Amino acid sequence: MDYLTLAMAKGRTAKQTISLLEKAGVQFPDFDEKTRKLIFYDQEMLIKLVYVKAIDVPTYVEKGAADIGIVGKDNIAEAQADIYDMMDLNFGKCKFVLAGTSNELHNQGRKLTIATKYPAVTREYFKRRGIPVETIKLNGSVELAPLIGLSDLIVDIVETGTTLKENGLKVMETIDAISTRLIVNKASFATKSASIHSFMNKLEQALEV
Amino acid sequence: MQLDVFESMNTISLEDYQRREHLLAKIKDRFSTYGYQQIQTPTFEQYDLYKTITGTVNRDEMIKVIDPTGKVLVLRPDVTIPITRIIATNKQIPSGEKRFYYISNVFRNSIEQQDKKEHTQAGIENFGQNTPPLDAEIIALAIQTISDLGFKKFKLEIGHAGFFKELLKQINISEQNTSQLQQMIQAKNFSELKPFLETLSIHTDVKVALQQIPFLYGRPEDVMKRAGTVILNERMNYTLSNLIEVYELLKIYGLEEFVSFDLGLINHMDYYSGIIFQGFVENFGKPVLMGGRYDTLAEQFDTDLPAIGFACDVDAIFDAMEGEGLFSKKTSPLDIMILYTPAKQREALTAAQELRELGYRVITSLDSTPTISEASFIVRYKENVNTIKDQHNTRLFYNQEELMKQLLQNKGEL
Repeated sequence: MDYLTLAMAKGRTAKQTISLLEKAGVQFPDFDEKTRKLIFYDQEMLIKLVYVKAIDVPTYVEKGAADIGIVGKDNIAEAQADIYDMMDLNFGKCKFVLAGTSNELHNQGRKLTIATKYPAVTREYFKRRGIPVETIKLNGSVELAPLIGLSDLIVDIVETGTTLKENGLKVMETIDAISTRLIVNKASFATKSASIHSFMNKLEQALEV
Repeated sequence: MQLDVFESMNTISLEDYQRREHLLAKIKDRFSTYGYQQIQTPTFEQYDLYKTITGTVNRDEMIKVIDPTGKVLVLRPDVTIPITRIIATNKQIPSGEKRFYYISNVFRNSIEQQDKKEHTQAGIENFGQNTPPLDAEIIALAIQTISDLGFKKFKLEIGHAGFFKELLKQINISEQNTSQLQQMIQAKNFSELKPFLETLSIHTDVKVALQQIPFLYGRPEDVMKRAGTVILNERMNYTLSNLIEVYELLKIYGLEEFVSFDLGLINHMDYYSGIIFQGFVENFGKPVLMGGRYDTLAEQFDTDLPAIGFACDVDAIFDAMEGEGLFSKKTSPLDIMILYTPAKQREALTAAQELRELGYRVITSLDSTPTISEASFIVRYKENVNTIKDQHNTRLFYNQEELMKQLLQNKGEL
């Protein structure tokens, strides 16, 4: 039988993902968070792990370079990939929020500018609300943008809200809840149905423990 | 400034082109064994044709051209709509069942892949009938087409546009909620679907059905058993029994191992009205084939014309075949290379013509070294001796008759 390729996100959820996989009986003995290696094998369970940047996980899965992926909903929503979002793994929980210096959406007929790492999510949210906005894509320290006048507001993910508070920003609206998900390539789902289902069953059992 | 030829152009290698032609020839052969005849639609179509038909190609993706009279034209973004237009509006075409196939390029602007505006599609369209035996035959043809190309493991997922559409008819929700619902069902997003349905004020039966529909996938026998929860009325029941009949017929074709059901399948082309399906091959992330029944499309041209068809994504199939190593080794473009001296010109050229008559691929040259090295045979006409050389040895011959004898003996090598 062939290997099932699993794309796993680097960063905040990697440790928890590995421990969930271990509970499910999937082990990568030479894995270590600080490693430079990018591919790991579980020879018994026939699973190949590729360790990639979180935002790239949906792309790997959509294009079929990986059969399945474990990644946060924030990256799935931003990538707008055509994949199956099949399981909520119930960790890595946080929220998409809209934040700014005041409590009001100060919108005096002027177009709002929003700084964010997630322009697609931002545009989608404001489109739904019927508010015209301009997005500015930043790759880090988004909190800085409203403080120095680069944008009116920000859309970002928050876990505890400490960073926002320390920078004098307030959460104005919660856009969406985020958690880590199991995603599946649509073609693999059809052609490797049996091994994907057995993998999902194992994860489900591990989650119940 | 130097022109960057690689940025916006696709270059196809000679060898890839030969492989593509080989692939297309196989597809064509298979289509014709089911009685389909090739047709071609114009490259330019009227923009209005696509503008008025809702739920087809994204308008922003179409490549538009303005003609001198100010009319907006588009480069053929899809083949099904123009073929339907031709069949539905041309009253000279005799009525009755019609079977057509096409190998056509379609043109779309893609934001993700700016350099990929052109895609080759190979597909069939069948007009005039709506019966489960015909649906089964079309699916059998789709499966056989993929199998002809050498794929051993592949799956054709079958669904029906009627299930989701019928469930939507039962409820009254905003367009925005509809598209969100559609997205969740398409993504089999079970964890968000349930809370989302809770927020809608709709009847419990429909709620349960919408929640169940993305789960209804897998082996047809299992799906049939579990499908009861989504069947809310007589029409849906009829749809399911048609689907089951199609599956039973596919068993007669001996193709059931390639088929799975997915009642949550929703095609982005809105015009599908009946059975829909998509084909996946192993180790390739996209569907290589898509199709379905579109009985209502011709209504846009005031004609009642049941129709079903599918299209293969030739570029995707090509990539998948390459990935799986399904192309046979490079074949020589030439059988015989004839080299001659000036005195033997007449003899050599006459021989070449005779060989070409017999179907050999021959080139001649007034030279002493072969200009193409891939020929299976090298024939030399020299002042006092003629030779024929294959991979292993060189033999003499004195006249055309002997040459033919030598070639026939070695025919197996060609």
